[in-house]
Amino acid sequence: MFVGEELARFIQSEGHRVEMVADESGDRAELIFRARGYIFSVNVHDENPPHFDVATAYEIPPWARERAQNATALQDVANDVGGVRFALAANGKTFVVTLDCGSRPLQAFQSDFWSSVARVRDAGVSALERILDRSESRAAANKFITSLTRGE
Amino acid sequence: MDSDRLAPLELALEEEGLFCTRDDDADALRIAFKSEGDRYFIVSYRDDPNFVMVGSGWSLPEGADRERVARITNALNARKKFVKVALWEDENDVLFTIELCVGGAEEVRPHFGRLLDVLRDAATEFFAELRSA
Repeated sequence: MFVGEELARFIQSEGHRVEMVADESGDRAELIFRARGYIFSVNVHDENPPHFDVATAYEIPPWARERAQNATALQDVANDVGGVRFALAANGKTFVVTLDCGSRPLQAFQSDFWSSVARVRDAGVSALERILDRSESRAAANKFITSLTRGE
Repeated sequence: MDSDRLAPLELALEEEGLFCTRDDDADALRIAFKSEGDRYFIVSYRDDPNFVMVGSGWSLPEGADRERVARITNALNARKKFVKVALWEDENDVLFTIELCVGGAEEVRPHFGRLLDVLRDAATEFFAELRSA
């Protein structure tokens, strides 16, 4: 059985609905499921052993969508957290956080599946907080500078 | 009596992407479900339509110090919002419940994700404290 199907059964047995999209060759699949309000995807490459990565996306509020600054914030968090990578997507409206879980037997991946999901979620939350914090700091600084310029 | 008054919570579970099963009888309406492999339940009694309970139960590790367990339980009850922690079944299990008085389960639906988080956090904190030296 294709490893993606086995993993889908595992996620279902853990209580979660799963949608699986396999490519035509059948050696790659994306599994999509929800957990704690977030939508996650697991990419499975059916090698020997199979390769897995786990990802989710976060929306950046419109007022905080400054690509250069957000790219820096994401890189900072990636450096702090380790093991995850970030990418801005949809013209800077969202970012994707991905944990490369490497090539390993399915059972090994399943044994720490939820902790991998938690790592992705926590890294994403940290990144979003960093982006919002910087934006809010900048907004406050701008107000201050503006008021000084006006001589109030 | 509305036999399907937990239906809004079934929808909430569906929105959370979770499977669930129903197990109603003459006394109670029950939903069982799993999230991240952990088991949870929802109960409402037919003779008390305003009562809704969401909960999870866990076995205590063998040989757990009962006095210490009781202290941790009490501390969580004092500190955590919403959740009630109780030792159960000859004190071999610990039960985490959220008990609500509502006009209907529809009122719970928009907050269901938060309530699940509270249950998860309470269990995580309980066992982390139990494991700590």
